[in-house]
Amino acid sequence: MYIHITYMLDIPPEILFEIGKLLDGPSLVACLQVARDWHNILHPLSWRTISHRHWIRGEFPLMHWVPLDNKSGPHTKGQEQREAKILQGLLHTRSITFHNLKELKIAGRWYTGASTLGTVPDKIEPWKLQILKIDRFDLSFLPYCPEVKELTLDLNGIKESKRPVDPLLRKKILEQVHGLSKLNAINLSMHCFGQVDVQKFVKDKIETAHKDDVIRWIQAPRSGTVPQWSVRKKKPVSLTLLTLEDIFALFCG
Amino acid sequence: MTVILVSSDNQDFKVDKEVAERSILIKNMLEDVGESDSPIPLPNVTAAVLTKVIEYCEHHRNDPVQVPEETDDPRKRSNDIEEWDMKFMQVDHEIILAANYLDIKPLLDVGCKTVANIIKGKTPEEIRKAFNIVNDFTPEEEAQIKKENEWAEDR
Repeated sequence: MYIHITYMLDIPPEILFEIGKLLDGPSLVACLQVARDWHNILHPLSWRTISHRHWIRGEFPLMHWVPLDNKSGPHTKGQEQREAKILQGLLHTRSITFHNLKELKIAGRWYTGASTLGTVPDKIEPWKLQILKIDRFDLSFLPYCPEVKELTLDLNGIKESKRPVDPLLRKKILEQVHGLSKLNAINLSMHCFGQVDVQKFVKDKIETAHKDDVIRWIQAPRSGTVPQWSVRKKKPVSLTLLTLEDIFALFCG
Repeated sequence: MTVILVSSDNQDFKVDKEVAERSILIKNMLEDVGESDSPIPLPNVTAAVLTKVIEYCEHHRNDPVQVPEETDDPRKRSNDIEEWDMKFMQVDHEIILAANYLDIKPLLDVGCKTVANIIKGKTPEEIRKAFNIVNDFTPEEEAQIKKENEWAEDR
């Protein structure tokens, strides 16, 4: 196929933007490097692309640095190499491509266990994220997001065996969340796990809720293992108060 | 019923109303003026491009009017270009501009998909070459952006 596009810069920004929406992550990244106009026009798409498409599939380059994955892939051989990759990724994420983001949704198999927390290098400048959506319990980078107001934990994909059972880990996560002075909402999206009756649990716990931890409860449907995006887009079906300890109790039985 | 479209270089095109109304711009114009025989000037479209656009609209005259679809996965659709459309798009970028101006959404979509398919898998330099784009980053900026994105290539 061949197309003569002699003066691509004649293409209005809105059309280039539409074209950008059709691109996969790596192609979009390539386009960011073509020319200044392209960078400026397509830049807003880079995070949109992550959020809408790669949340589940892990196709966007951002996924390839996702830290704390101890399943040894080509990029995670050895602790040292992994940490180098984490630093590289985090440095990138706060760089011009992402550092002005107010909102980010990221995903990946980064929850492994207590030992992996605290390995994030401390040279990172704070991000400006206000809304952060992640799909694991590992919140080890939260100290770099002091502006976060709204945190979404999308836990639909977490297997039972991956629930944080280690009390130390729970404690650590709690500490990290409590360090976020601006946090005013936690959205929790998850399936009903096995035998746990979520509705009943919420009902039982609502009286005893800790006032500082506002958790909006989004219950995903039971069918299928991976929820559709449209489900996530829906507003929380109910608003209730739970403490994080309650959540962990729910997960850990 | 036919309408007369006039290209920027003053050529007249006699087209079925039904075909012309594939363009939302023309459809709206016709609705605004009501029953009228007066030709419709299209100062942004040359005769060469208008010929192609009309060809497209003739081919797709019986297509159902496209309803904007709610999808969270536009890329899924970037490969579903009809064979006829794919051949048709082996043309100048002006088709895309005309589709935009005349507000012919399906044609604009095909154009965008075609360009997206060209971009896919190319390096920044290859993209510049394909579209004859001048790299206007300063060397410092280019080094910076390259550095920021090299992790994306290291896969």
